Amino acid sequence: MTRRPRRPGLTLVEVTISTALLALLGMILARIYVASQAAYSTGTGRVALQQKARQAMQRLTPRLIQAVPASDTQDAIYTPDDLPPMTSQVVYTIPSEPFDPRSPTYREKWIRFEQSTGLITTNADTPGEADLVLARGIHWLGLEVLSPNSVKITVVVQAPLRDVGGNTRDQEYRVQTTVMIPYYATR
Amino acid sequence: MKRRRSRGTVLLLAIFFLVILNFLALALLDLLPLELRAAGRNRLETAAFLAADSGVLHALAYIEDRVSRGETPLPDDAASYVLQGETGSWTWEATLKADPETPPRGTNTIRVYEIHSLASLDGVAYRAVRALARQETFARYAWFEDQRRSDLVITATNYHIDGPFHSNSRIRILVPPGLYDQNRTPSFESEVTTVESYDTPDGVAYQGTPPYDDQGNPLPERYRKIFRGGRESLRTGARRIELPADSGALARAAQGQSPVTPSTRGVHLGQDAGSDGLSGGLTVVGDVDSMVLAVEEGGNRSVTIQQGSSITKVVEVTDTAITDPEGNPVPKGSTILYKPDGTFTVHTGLTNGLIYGTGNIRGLTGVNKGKRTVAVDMAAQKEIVLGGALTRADTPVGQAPQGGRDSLGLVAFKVRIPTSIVRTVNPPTDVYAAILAGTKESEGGFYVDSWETRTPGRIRLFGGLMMGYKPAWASVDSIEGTVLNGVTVDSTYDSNLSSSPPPYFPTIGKFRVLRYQEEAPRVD
Repeated sequence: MTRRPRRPGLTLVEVTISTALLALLGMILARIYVASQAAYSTGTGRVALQQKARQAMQRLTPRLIQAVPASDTQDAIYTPDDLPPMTSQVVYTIPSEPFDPRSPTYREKWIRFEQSTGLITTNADTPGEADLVLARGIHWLGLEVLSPNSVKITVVVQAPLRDVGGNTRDQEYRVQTTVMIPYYATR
Repeated sequence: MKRRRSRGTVLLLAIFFLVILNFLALALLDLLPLELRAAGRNRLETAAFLAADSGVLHALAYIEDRVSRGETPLPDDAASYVLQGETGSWTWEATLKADPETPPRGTNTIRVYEIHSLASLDGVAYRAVRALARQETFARYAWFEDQRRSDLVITATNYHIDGPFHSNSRIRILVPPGLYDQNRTPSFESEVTTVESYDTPDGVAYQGTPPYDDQGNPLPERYRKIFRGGRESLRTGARRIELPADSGALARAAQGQSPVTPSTRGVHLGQDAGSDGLSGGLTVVGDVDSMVLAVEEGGNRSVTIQQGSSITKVVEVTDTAITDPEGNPVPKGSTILYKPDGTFTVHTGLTNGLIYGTGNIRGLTGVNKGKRTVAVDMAAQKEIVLGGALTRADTPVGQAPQGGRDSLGLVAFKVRIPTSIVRTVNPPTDVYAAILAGTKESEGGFYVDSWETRTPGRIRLFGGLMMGYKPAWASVDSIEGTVLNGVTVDSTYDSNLSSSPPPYFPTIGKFRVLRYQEEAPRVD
């Protein structure tokens, strides 16, 4: 019977050092993991914010490009006077239904935002029916009529998101576009 | 020396950390494309919109070109016509369709086309828009002249034209002394376009101090006293816009589906072939001595036409059901023709608003309700002579119209203000109408009889005045511009006539888009 060679053992110092090193590496790893988790959740939260803002924008623009002036001396879109604070609104005219192109009639539509409720609303297509909600949870909607056939829209959305440092704070996302009303009467 | 055995611990650790770091990197990379996608989508949206809009513009240019050359945009009377174009990887396909009233299928002088434009990227449909384009009419102008008497001036202090002005010739403006120092409303509130021009810095001949300096540089403050928009709102060298040569299209539209062209003296309703239903307007054969537009009790509209001793009345039951002379109920949406012999006929439907005279129409007056056009045979140089004020039911007399419910168009070779109308400055004679008088390069126009010898008068026109020839209506002091004698025309533009013109009013080559909608498909 041959004698197996003796395996060398670890000294106490070796074990201590390696344990310390492993603990250190573990801590670093844990921090990286926590940070990446936070970054990921911040990122996905921001994406959700962006989508919310873009969805709101996509619900507004097709409505506004329909605007046409009821006559050559009227504007297709305007901002009403004396708006309450922390609200924004535009009024625009669209053809009435049924539409007779040789004797057209028009009706007014509006898009309104109130910061207290965070709702973007518009009046129903049928008179007497309830207003329609176009978007919820909006922090601010800017509706700036730049010219008789263009309006600048700014949608601002906010949500509390945890940053990499683990602190929770309001993240903001803002999307802005200028809608050109394609067919102004005197083009 | 004994070699130490490698145990691979470091390698394992390295691989372990590498995998962890890889996961982190992938998580970050996973977020990045979302941002890129958002930006790319934005760009795509804009490009898609521009491509779809290009299709609409392409179709509009095509329609205007064909119509201005007297051709139908739908070759061979096809139901639709497709135009295609491309820019880079984007393509568009614009499909044109005419509405049922548009020639050659219909008889309406005002053409309407639907344009459906589809934008595709690399063959995949991406965005579609639907637009409705209607032909513009002469009613879009506040003032239109084909020619004017060469010695006539537009006196800046007497004229106030608050809508589009167009002249196929050129204009001369009298600037009274001190005009530029006055705080005044400009003479022209909107665009001014002329085809021809004088050999002056801006193409207009000024009698008095011009609004430019000795070097011909425009002086903005002076220009704004004459033109609301300053020098920029005056444009010479504009495209010529031709007046119609005749009113044959209106005659056909008044006749409707009636198989026989009315030829016997009297009033004829455009009837459906073989039924009592209406498909046209009124055709009046022979000269008319008086024509009175009115609103009956209950709000129904009527017209009473006198030819010699024959009196015909047409009542359209627009608002309230009535009973006929025999006591039978006549429902809303019917028309009753009271004939000169005392008999009457009841017809289903209302007229299309056209009253067409083969002869002269004299003594036209009254209150108009709804949309109407009174026209005569322009090729035969027939005229409409006013018999007094022409007002409208939806507007208090003397006030500017606020809505477009009622609109009246007059179409004739000449429209005349006769001496029989009492001529005073106050009160003026009110006329609410879009008046088109005259054909291309003719003497037809808007005339005031014996303006030189009668007392001064004033016509308050709410609408537009389109003339083949602008004759003299008054004489003015050549320096001060004050009216010495004759008639002044105070015009107030009714922009509703532009968006909702009188029926069958003569058209120009341009089209306006009345409706524009985005449609599926749309990829988000």
